[in-house]
Amino acid sequence: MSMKKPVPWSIAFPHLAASDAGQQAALPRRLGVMWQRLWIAWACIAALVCAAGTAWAVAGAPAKPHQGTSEFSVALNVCAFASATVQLHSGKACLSTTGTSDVPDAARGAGAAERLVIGRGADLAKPGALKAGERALSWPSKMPNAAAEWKINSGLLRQEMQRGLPIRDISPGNTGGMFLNAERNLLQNHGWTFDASTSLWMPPVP
Amino acid sequence: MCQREQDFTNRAVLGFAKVVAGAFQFLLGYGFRLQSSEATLVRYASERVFVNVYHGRSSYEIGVEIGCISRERSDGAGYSMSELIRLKNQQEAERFRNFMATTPDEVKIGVQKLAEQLLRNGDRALRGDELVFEALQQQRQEWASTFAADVAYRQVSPKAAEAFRRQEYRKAAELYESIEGKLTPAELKKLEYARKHA
Repeated sequence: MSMKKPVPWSIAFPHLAASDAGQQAALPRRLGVMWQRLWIAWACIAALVCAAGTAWAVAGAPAKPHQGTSEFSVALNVCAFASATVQLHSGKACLSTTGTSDVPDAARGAGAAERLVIGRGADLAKPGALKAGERALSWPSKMPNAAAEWKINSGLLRQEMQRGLPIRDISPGNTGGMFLNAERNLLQNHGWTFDASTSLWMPPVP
Repeated sequence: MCQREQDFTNRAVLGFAKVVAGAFQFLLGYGFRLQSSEATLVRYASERVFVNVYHGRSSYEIGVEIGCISRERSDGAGYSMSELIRLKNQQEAERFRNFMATTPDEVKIGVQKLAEQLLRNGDRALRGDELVFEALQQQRQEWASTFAADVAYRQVSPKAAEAFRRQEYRKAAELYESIEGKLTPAELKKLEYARKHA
């Protein structure tokens, strides 16, 4: 009885080496198993390559200030890092929101509103009567036409009232002035209230 | 030069400073001396008290301001004629209005009238009585509180009445309570009723 010489590939894949007709019938199933194992092997290799790449990338990145933070906070940290880097390179100090920055006042106060002050002209004209960020109404005088004067005065005051910001009364107790009394009446008629402790006219609550 | 400044330079023709010098000569008897005299402002001062007589640059109202010199340095407090009058008679103070003068004749009348009012109501202050200035300061604070309460009453009272009319008694009670010090007898009864039915 002569021995059949084994085919080389049957040594590597003994499952495929069918020695008889019964075994040859099971060949398609064996091929399927083989392909399945090949795919699993390739998948494992691909996963290993990806993991190695990620580990390399992480090792090359700067250390994060906080571990285990959310994606949003990480993004914020990245922005802060980038901002700090830009400032460092431009030679500027770090900006803060507490008002100690070197941003020019005009730029910082662009959105800030000045407070209007009403009162007797004599009080408004005193040195230091108006604090920082305060101003009085001003317009070309129409006197001795008092009606025309009040028309302008009331119009400007109405514009200020629409801003809805507190207005300081610099002459509390002085009730002899016609225009000042009229201004107070105008404020009252539009629902404004007077705060005695601060001498501020407060806008109506909507 | 703005219009306001032009008006100021033309104010000398009204002769305000000269009229004041004549009408307020009685201040010399109180130990005052003329400090400065301008077209719209004449300043007098004694050892302890200052008096500023002014002709409003915009308002053309003639007014006076009196204050204690030591206090002026601390809080800048100058008291108006309406405040001096209020120390004596509150109703009269509420009626008082500054005299508005736009012609030389009106200036004469207004300044003379003001001088008489100062003599009548400001004797103790002109003598430098510290108690008067303390009273004026306290009165100013009280005026501010009273005025604030009056304003609040005018704002809140109609809203409270409307809530009461709609039988929203809880809201009406809250609103009335916020102005309780100013309520009329009728409103006090409404508050009582609203409290019961809130």
